[in-house]
Amino acid sequence: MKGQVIPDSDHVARYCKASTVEGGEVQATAFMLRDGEEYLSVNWLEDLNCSDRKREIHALQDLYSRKLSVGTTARIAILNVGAFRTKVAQESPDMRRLRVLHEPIIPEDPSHAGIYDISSDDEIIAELIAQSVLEKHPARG
Amino acid sequence: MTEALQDQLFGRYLAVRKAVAAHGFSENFEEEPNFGTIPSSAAADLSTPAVIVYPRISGVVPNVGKTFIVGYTGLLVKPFEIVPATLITSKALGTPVTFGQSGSMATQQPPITEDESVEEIIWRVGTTLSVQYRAKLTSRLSELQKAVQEEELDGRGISAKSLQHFLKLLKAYPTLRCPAVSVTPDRNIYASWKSGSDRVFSIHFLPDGKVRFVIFCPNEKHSGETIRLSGAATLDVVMSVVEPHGVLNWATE
Repeated sequence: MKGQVIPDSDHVARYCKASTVEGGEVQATAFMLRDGEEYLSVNWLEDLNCSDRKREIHALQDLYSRKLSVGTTARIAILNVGAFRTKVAQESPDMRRLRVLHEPIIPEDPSHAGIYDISSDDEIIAELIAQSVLEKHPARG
Repeated sequence: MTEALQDQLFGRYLAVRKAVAAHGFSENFEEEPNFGTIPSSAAADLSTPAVIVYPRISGVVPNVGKTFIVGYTGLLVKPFEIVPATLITSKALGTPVTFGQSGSMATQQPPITEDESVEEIIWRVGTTLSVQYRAKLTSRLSELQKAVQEEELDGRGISAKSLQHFLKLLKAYPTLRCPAVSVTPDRNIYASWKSGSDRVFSIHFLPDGKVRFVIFCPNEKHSGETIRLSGAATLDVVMSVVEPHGVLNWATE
Protein backbone atom coordinates (compact mmCIF):
# COMPACT_ATOMS: atom_id res chain seq x y z
CA MET A 1 0.00 0.00 0.00
CA LYS A 2 1.47 3.35 -1.01
CA GLY A 3 2.75 5.35 1.93
CA GLN A 4 2.68 2.41 4.35
CA VAL A 5 5.42 2.66 6.96
CA ILE A 6 7.83 -0.27 6.66
CA PRO A 7 8.33 -1.84 10.10
CA ASP A 8 11.68 -1.63 11.84
CA SER A 9 11.88 -5.40 11.92
CA ASP A 10 11.85 -5.59 8.11
CA HIS A 11 14.60 -5.17 5.53
CA VAL A 12 15.19 -3.12 2.43
CA ALA A 13 17.62 -3.60 -0.44
CA ARG A 14 19.42 -0.81 -2.25
CA TYR A 15 20.78 -1.23 -5.77
CA CYS A 16 24.36 0.08 -5.62
CA LYS A 17 25.73 1.07 -9.01
CA ALA A 18 29.19 -0.07 -10.01
CA SER A 19 30.42 3.52 -9.68
CA THR A 20 29.53 3.44 -5.97
CA VAL A 21 31.36 0.23 -5.16
CA GLU A 22 35.09 -0.18 -4.69
CA GLY A 23 36.67 -3.56 -4.12
CA GLY A 24 33.26 -5.01 -3.32
CA GLU A 25 32.69 -2.42 -0.60
CA VAL A 26 29.63 -0.25 -0.91
CA GLN A 27 30.59 3.42 -0.57
CA ALA A 28 28.49 6.25 0.87
CA THR A 29 27.74 7.49 -2.66
CA ALA A 30 25.35 4.54 -3.02
CA PHE A 31 23.10 6.28 -0.51
CA MET A 32 23.12 9.78 -1.93
CA LEU A 33 20.28 11.51 -3.75
CA ARG A 34 20.44 13.37 -7.01
CA ASP A 35 19.40 16.98 -6.93
CA GLY A 36 15.60 17.05 -7.01
CA GLU A 37 15.03 13.47 -5.88
CA GLU A 38 12.52 13.10 -3.07
CA TYR A 39 13.63 9.81 -1.58
CA LEU A 40 16.21 7.06 -1.86
CA SER A 41 14.80 4.15 -3.84
CA VAL A 42 14.92 0.72 -2.21
CA ASN A 43 12.99 -2.54 -2.33
CA TRP A 44 11.09 -3.97 0.60
CA LEU A 45 12.38 -7.50 0.94
CA GLU A 46 9.51 -8.94 2.96
CA ASP A 47 7.06 -7.64 0.34
CA LEU A 48 8.71 -9.90 -2.25
CA ASN A 49 7.15 -12.88 -0.39
CA CYS A 50 10.12 -15.14 -1.00
CA SER A 51 10.91 -18.01 1.36
CA ASP A 52 14.54 -17.13 1.95
CA ARG A 53 17.26 -14.57 1.26
CA LYS A 54 18.64 -16.45 -1.71
CA ARG A 55 15.29 -16.24 -3.50
CA GLU A 56 14.90 -12.59 -2.54
CA ILE A 57 18.26 -11.79 -4.10
CA HIS A 58 17.36 -13.73 -7.22
CA ALA A 59 14.07 -11.82 -7.49
CA LEU A 60 15.91 -8.51 -7.17
CA GLN A 61 18.51 -9.49 -9.76
CA ASP A 62 15.69 -10.37 -12.10
CA LEU A 63 13.96 -7.06 -11.41
CA TYR A 64 17.12 -5.00 -11.94
CA SER A 65 17.94 -6.78 -15.19
CA ARG A 66 14.60 -5.62 -16.56
CA LYS A 67 14.90 -2.03 -15.35
CA LEU A 68 18.58 -1.16 -15.42
CA SER A 69 21.90 -1.62 -17.14
CA VAL A 70 23.45 -3.65 -14.34
CA GLY A 71 27.22 -3.35 -14.06
CA THR A 72 29.30 -6.42 -13.32
CA THR A 73 30.53 -4.98 -10.03
CA ALA A 74 27.19 -3.48 -8.97
CA ARG A 75 25.93 -4.73 -5.61
CA ILE A 76 22.73 -5.19 -3.66
CA ALA A 77 23.07 -3.77 -0.14
CA ILE A 78 20.73 -5.19 2.49
CA LEU A 79 19.70 -3.00 5.39
CA ASN A 80 17.59 -3.67 8.44
CA VAL A 81 15.16 -0.78 8.68
CA GLY A 82 15.27 -0.41 12.46
CA ALA A 83 19.04 -0.72 12.64
CA PHE A 84 19.87 2.02 10.14
CA ARG A 85 17.12 4.33 11.35
CA THR A 86 18.38 4.00 14.92
CA LYS A 87 22.00 4.52 13.91
CA VAL A 88 21.17 7.65 11.95
CA ALA A 89 18.96 9.00 14.74
CA GLN A 90 21.66 8.40 17.37
CA GLU A 91 24.74 9.38 15.41
CA SER A 92 23.80 12.14 13.00
CA PRO A 93 24.51 15.63 14.35
CA ASP A 94 20.85 16.63 13.90
CA MET A 95 19.48 13.29 15.23
CA ARG A 96 17.71 12.71 11.95
CA ARG A 97 14.58 10.56 12.01
CA LEU A 98 14.40 8.84 8.64
CA ARG A 99 11.13 7.37 7.38
CA VAL A 100 10.89 4.31 5.19
CA LEU A 101 7.67 4.12 3.19
CA HIS A 102 6.25 1.71 0.66
CA GLU A 103 6.13 3.28 -2.82
CA PRO A 104 4.88 0.47 -5.06
CA ILE A 105 5.23 0.90 -8.80
CA ILE A 106 2.47 -1.19 -10.32
CA PRO A 107 2.83 -3.52 -12.06
CA GLU A 108 6.60 -3.65 -12.65
CA ASP A 109 8.02 -3.00 -9.19
CA PRO A 110 5.45 -3.61 -6.40
CA SER A 111 8.05 -3.90 -3.61
CA HIS A 112 9.51 -0.48 -4.40
CA ALA A 113 9.96 1.75 -1.34
CA GLY A 114 11.64 4.99 -0.35
CA ILE A 115 13.87 6.27 2.42
CA TYR A 116 12.65 9.79 3.17
CA ASP A 117 14.12 12.85 4.88
CA ILE A 118 17.48 12.77 3.15
CA SER A 119 18.62 15.71 1.04
CA SER A 120 21.07 15.77 -1.81
CA ASP A 121 23.83 17.32 0.33
CA ASP A 122 23.60 14.80 3.17
CA GLU A 123 26.97 13.12 2.90
CA ILE A 124 27.03 12.37 6.62
CA ILE A 125 23.69 10.51 6.46
CA ALA A 126 24.96 8.55 3.47
CA GLU A 127 28.09 7.58 5.42
CA LEU A 128 26.01 6.39 8.37
CA ILE A 129 23.70 4.32 6.16
CA ALA A 130 26.73 2.81 4.43
CA GLN A 131 28.02 1.74 7.82
CA SER A 132 24.69 -0.01 8.47
CA VAL A 133 24.85 -2.39 5.51
CA LEU A 134 24.17 -5.92 6.74
CA GLU A 135 24.90 -7.90 3.60
CA LYS A 136 26.18 -7.34 0.07
CA HIS A 137 25.26 -9.45 -2.93
CA PRO A 138 26.02 -9.23 -6.64
CA ALA A 139 23.37 -7.23 -8.45
CA ARG A 140 23.85 -9.23 -11.62
CA GLY A 141 22.55 -12.78 -11.55
CA MET B 1 64.72 -15.62 -18.83
CA THR B 2 66.69 -17.09 -21.71
CA GLU B 3 69.78 -15.39 -23.03
CA ALA B 4 68.13 -15.07 -26.42
CA LEU B 5 65.13 -13.35 -24.91
CA GLN B 6 67.35 -11.03 -22.89
CA ASP B 7 69.24 -10.17 -26.06
CA GLN B 8 65.98 -9.52 -27.80
CA LEU B 9 64.78 -7.26 -25.00
CA PHE B 10 68.07 -5.42 -24.92
CA GLY B 11 67.83 -4.98 -28.66
CA ARG B 12 64.43 -3.43 -28.27
CA TYR B 13 65.77 -1.22 -25.52
CA LEU B 14 68.49 0.03 -27.86
CA ALA B 15 65.89 0.60 -30.54
CA VAL B 16 63.94 2.79 -28.18
CA ARG B 17 67.05 4.79 -27.33
CA LYS B 18 67.60 5.36 -31.01
CA ALA B 19 64.00 6.37 -31.45
CA VAL B 20 64.42 8.85 -28.59
CA ALA B 21 67.49 10.30 -30.26
CA ALA B 22 65.63 10.50 -33.55
CA HIS B 23 63.22 12.87 -31.90
CA GLY B 24 66.00 15.18 -30.82
CA PHE B 25 66.52 13.98 -27.25
CA SER B 26 69.59 12.71 -25.54
CA GLU B 27 69.93 8.97 -25.77
CA ASN B 28 70.85 9.03 -22.12
CA PHE B 29 67.34 10.00 -21.20
CA GLU B 30 67.41 7.83 -18.09
CA GLU B 31 70.11 10.12 -16.68
CA GLU B 32 67.83 13.10 -16.88
CA PRO B 33 67.64 14.45 -13.31
CA ASN B 34 63.88 14.67 -13.38
CA PHE B 35 63.25 11.52 -15.27
CA GLY B 36 60.46 9.59 -13.57
CA THR B 37 60.86 5.98 -12.66
CA ILE B 38 58.24 3.74 -11.23
CA PRO B 39 58.37 0.33 -9.68
CA SER B 40 56.92 -2.23 -12.01
CA SER B 41 55.50 -5.48 -10.75
CA ALA B 42 55.99 -6.86 -14.21
CA ALA B 43 59.67 -5.99 -14.05
CA ALA B 44 60.03 -7.97 -10.85
CA ASP B 45 58.72 -10.99 -12.66
CA LEU B 46 61.39 -11.91 -15.15
CA SER B 47 59.00 -14.28 -16.88
CA THR B 48 57.01 -11.27 -18.03
CA PRO B 49 59.10 -9.78 -20.81
CA ALA B 50 56.21 -7.66 -22.10
CA VAL B 51 57.29 -4.98 -19.67
CA ILE B 52 59.83 -3.67 -22.12
CA VAL B 53 57.13 -2.01 -24.18
CA TYR B 54 54.11 -2.00 -22.05
CA PRO B 55 51.19 0.19 -23.17
CA ARG B 56 49.78 0.12 -19.72
CA ILE B 57 47.02 2.64 -20.17
CA SER B 58 46.79 2.78 -23.90
CA GLY B 59 43.18 3.00 -24.82
CA VAL B 60 42.40 5.61 -22.22
CA VAL B 61 43.30 8.18 -24.82
CA PRO B 62 43.35 6.87 -28.38
CA ASN B 63 46.86 6.56 -29.78
CA VAL B 64 48.44 7.45 -26.49
CA GLY B 65 50.34 4.78 -24.68
CA LYS B 66 52.85 4.60 -21.88
CA THR B 67 56.06 2.88 -22.60
CA PHE B 68 58.15 1.04 -20.12
CA ILE B 69 61.74 0.26 -20.90
CA VAL B 70 63.77 -2.19 -18.92
CA GLY B 71 67.50 -1.64 -18.69
CA TYR B 72 69.69 -4.59 -17.82
CA THR B 73 72.87 -4.35 -15.80
CA GLY B 74 73.95 -7.86 -15.08
CA LEU B 75 70.96 -9.42 -13.39
CA LEU B 76 69.48 -6.14 -12.28
CA VAL B 77 66.27 -5.05 -13.91
CA LYS B 78 65.67 -1.34 -14.01
CA PRO B 79 62.26 -0.25 -15.23
CA PHE B 80 61.85 3.22 -16.71
CA GLU B 81 58.72 4.98 -17.68
CA ILE B 82 58.75 7.36 -20.62
CA VAL B 83 56.31 10.04 -19.72
CA PRO B 84 54.33 11.15 -22.72
CA ALA B 85 53.63 14.83 -23.03
CA THR B 86 52.82 16.46 -26.32
CA LEU B 87 52.96 13.36 -28.31
CA ILE B 88 54.99 12.07 -31.14
CA THR B 89 54.33 8.46 -31.90
CA SER B 90 56.86 6.03 -33.16
CA LYS B 91 55.88 2.54 -34.18
CA ALA B 92 59.48 1.46 -34.48
CA LEU B 93 58.92 -1.34 -32.01
CA GLY B 94 55.58 -2.46 -33.30
CA THR B 95 53.89 -0.86 -30.30
CA PRO B 96 53.25 2.86 -30.15
CA VAL B 97 56.08 4.56 -28.29
CA THR B 98 55.52 8.10 -27.16
CA PHE B 99 57.94 10.87 -26.43
CA GLY B 100 57.73 14.45 -25.31
CA GLN B 101 58.33 17.01 -28.03
CA SER B 102 60.99 19.05 -26.35
CA GLY B 103 62.98 19.48 -23.17
CA SER B 104 62.96 16.92 -20.42
CA MET B 105 60.39 14.24 -21.03
CA ALA B 106 59.73 13.74 -17.40
CA THR B 107 59.04 17.36 -16.69
CA GLN B 108 56.69 17.82 -19.60
CA GLN B 109 53.25 17.92 -18.05
CA PRO B 110 50.33 19.19 -20.06
CA PRO B 111 48.76 22.18 -18.36
CA ILE B 112 45.32 21.83 -16.90
CA THR B 113 42.87 23.33 -19.31
CA GLU B 114 39.25 24.16 -18.78
CA ASP B 115 38.02 21.88 -21.51
CA GLU B 116 40.25 18.91 -20.78
CA SER B 117 38.39 15.65 -21.23
CA VAL B 118 38.05 13.11 -18.45
CA GLU B 119 40.19 10.69 -20.44
CA GLU B 120 42.97 13.27 -20.74
CA ILE B 121 42.78 14.01 -17.04
CA ILE B 122 42.95 10.32 -16.15
CA TRP B 123 45.91 9.87 -18.43
CA ARG B 124 47.65 12.73 -16.62
CA VAL B 125 47.21 10.90 -13.30
CA GLY B 126 49.67 8.33 -14.57
CA THR B 127 52.34 10.96 -15.01
CA THR B 128 51.89 13.43 -12.21
CA LEU B 129 50.65 11.88 -8.99
CA SER B 130 52.40 9.90 -6.28
CA VAL B 131 54.32 6.99 -7.71
CA GLN B 132 52.96 4.89 -4.86
CA TYR B 133 49.47 4.76 -6.25
CA ARG B 134 49.34 6.32 -9.71
CA ALA B 135 48.77 3.01 -11.51
CA LYS B 136 46.07 1.96 -9.07
CA LEU B 137 44.32 5.32 -9.27
CA THR B 138 44.52 5.49 -13.06
CA SER B 139 42.95 2.07 -13.26
CA ARG B 140 40.23 2.97 -10.75
CA LEU B 141 39.32 6.22 -12.49
CA SER B 142 39.17 4.52 -15.88
CA GLU B 143 36.90 1.88 -14.37
CA LEU B 144 34.66 4.56 -12.86
CA GLN B 145 34.45 6.52 -16.09
CA LYS B 146 33.39 3.40 -17.97
CA ALA B 147 30.88 2.48 -15.27
CA VAL B 148 29.26 5.92 -15.26
CA GLN B 149 29.05 6.00 -19.05
CA GLU B 150 27.28 2.64 -18.96
CA GLU B 151 24.98 3.56 -16.10
CA GLU B 152 23.75 6.88 -17.41
CA LEU B 153 21.32 7.04 -20.29
CA ASP B 154 23.12 9.98 -21.93
CA GLY B 155 26.44 8.11 -21.99
CA ARG B 156 28.27 10.98 -20.31
CA GLY B 157 30.85 10.15 -17.71
CA ILE B 158 32.37 11.70 -14.61
CA SER B 159 32.33 15.48 -14.17
CA ALA B 160 35.66 16.67 -15.58
CA LYS B 161 35.76 19.68 -13.28
CA SER B 162 35.16 17.58 -10.20
CA LEU B 163 37.91 15.20 -11.27
CA GLN B 164 40.33 18.08 -11.87
CA HIS B 165 39.71 19.40 -8.36
CA PHE B 166 40.25 15.95 -6.87
CA LEU B 167 43.60 15.62 -8.61
CA LYS B 168 44.64 19.12 -7.57
CA LEU B 169 44.17 18.10 -3.96
CA LEU B 170 46.16 14.90 -4.38
CA LYS B 171 48.98 16.83 -6.04
CA ALA B 172 49.01 19.43 -3.28
CA TYR B 173 49.10 16.74 -0.57
CA PRO B 174 51.35 13.98 -1.89
CA THR B 175 51.49 12.21 1.47
CA LEU B 176 47.79 11.37 1.32
CA ARG B 177 47.11 7.68 0.87
CA CYS B 178 45.22 6.58 -2.19
CA PRO B 179 41.58 7.02 -1.20
CA ALA B 180 38.58 4.88 -1.99
CA VAL B 181 37.04 6.70 -4.93
CA SER B 182 33.45 6.55 -6.07
CA VAL B 183 31.05 8.75 -8.00
CA THR B 184 28.04 10.62 -6.62
CA PRO B 185 24.66 10.59 -8.39
CA ASP B 186 25.59 13.97 -9.87
CA ARG B 187 28.76 12.41 -11.34
CA ASN B 188 31.15 14.09 -8.95
CA ILE B 189 34.18 12.46 -7.41
CA TYR B 190 33.84 11.34 -3.80
CA ALA B 191 37.05 10.31 -2.07
CA SER B 192 37.21 8.52 1.27
CA TRP B 193 40.03 7.74 3.63
CA LYS B 194 38.87 5.30 6.27
CA SER B 195 40.34 3.28 9.08
CA GLY B 196 37.48 1.57 10.85
CA SER B 197 34.04 3.03 11.45
CA ASP B 198 35.31 5.78 13.76
CA ARG B 199 37.98 7.13 11.44
CA VAL B 200 36.36 8.43 8.30
CA PHE B 201 37.37 11.39 6.17
CA SER B 202 35.48 11.91 2.93
CA ILE B 203 35.43 14.75 0.44
CA HIS B 204 32.79 15.44 -2.19
CA PHE B 205 34.43 17.47 -4.97
CA LEU B 206 31.91 19.81 -6.55
CA PRO B 207 32.53 21.10 -10.08
CA ASP B 208 32.74 24.74 -8.96
CA GLY B 209 35.79 24.20 -6.74
CA LYS B 210 33.83 23.89 -3.54
CA VAL B 211 33.88 20.76 -1.44
CA ARG B 212 31.73 19.15 1.18
CA PHE B 213 33.44 16.94 3.71
CA VAL B 214 32.58 14.43 6.41
CA ILE B 215 34.74 13.53 9.39
CA PHE B 216 34.25 10.74 11.93
CA CYS B 217 37.06 10.68 14.47
CA PRO B 218 37.57 9.35 17.99
CA ASN B 219 36.77 11.68 20.84
CA GLU B 220 40.15 11.76 22.58
CA LYS B 221 38.65 12.88 25.88
CA HIS B 222 35.90 10.27 26.03
CA SER B 223 37.00 6.78 25.18
CA GLY B 224 34.59 4.97 22.90
CA GLU B 225 32.86 8.17 21.78
CA THR B 226 33.08 9.39 18.20
CA ILE B 227 32.96 12.94 16.91
CA ARG B 228 30.96 13.24 13.68
CA LEU B 229 30.81 16.41 11.69
CA SER B 230 30.36 17.63 8.17
CA GLY B 231 31.02 20.92 6.48
CA ALA B 232 31.59 22.88 3.32
CA ALA B 233 34.70 24.72 2.17
CA THR B 234 36.68 25.57 -0.90
CA LEU B 235 39.29 23.22 -2.26
CA ASP B 236 42.21 25.48 -1.35
CA VAL B 237 41.40 25.59 2.36
CA VAL B 238 39.72 22.28 3.08
CA MET B 239 42.80 20.53 4.40
CA SER B 240 43.61 23.32 6.82
CA VAL B 241 40.01 23.13 8.03
CA VAL B 242 40.07 19.37 8.61
CA GLU B 243 43.64 18.92 9.87
CA PRO B 244 42.87 19.93 13.48
CA HIS B 245 40.54 16.92 13.65
CA GLY B 246 43.47 14.58 13.16
CA VAL B 247 42.38 13.17 9.81
CA LEU B 248 45.96 13.05 8.58
CA ASN B 249 46.66 10.39 11.21
CA TRP B 250 44.88 7.85 9.05
CA ALA B 251 44.64 9.60 5.68
CA THR B 252 48.38 9.84 5.13
CA GLU B 253 51.11 7.25 4.74
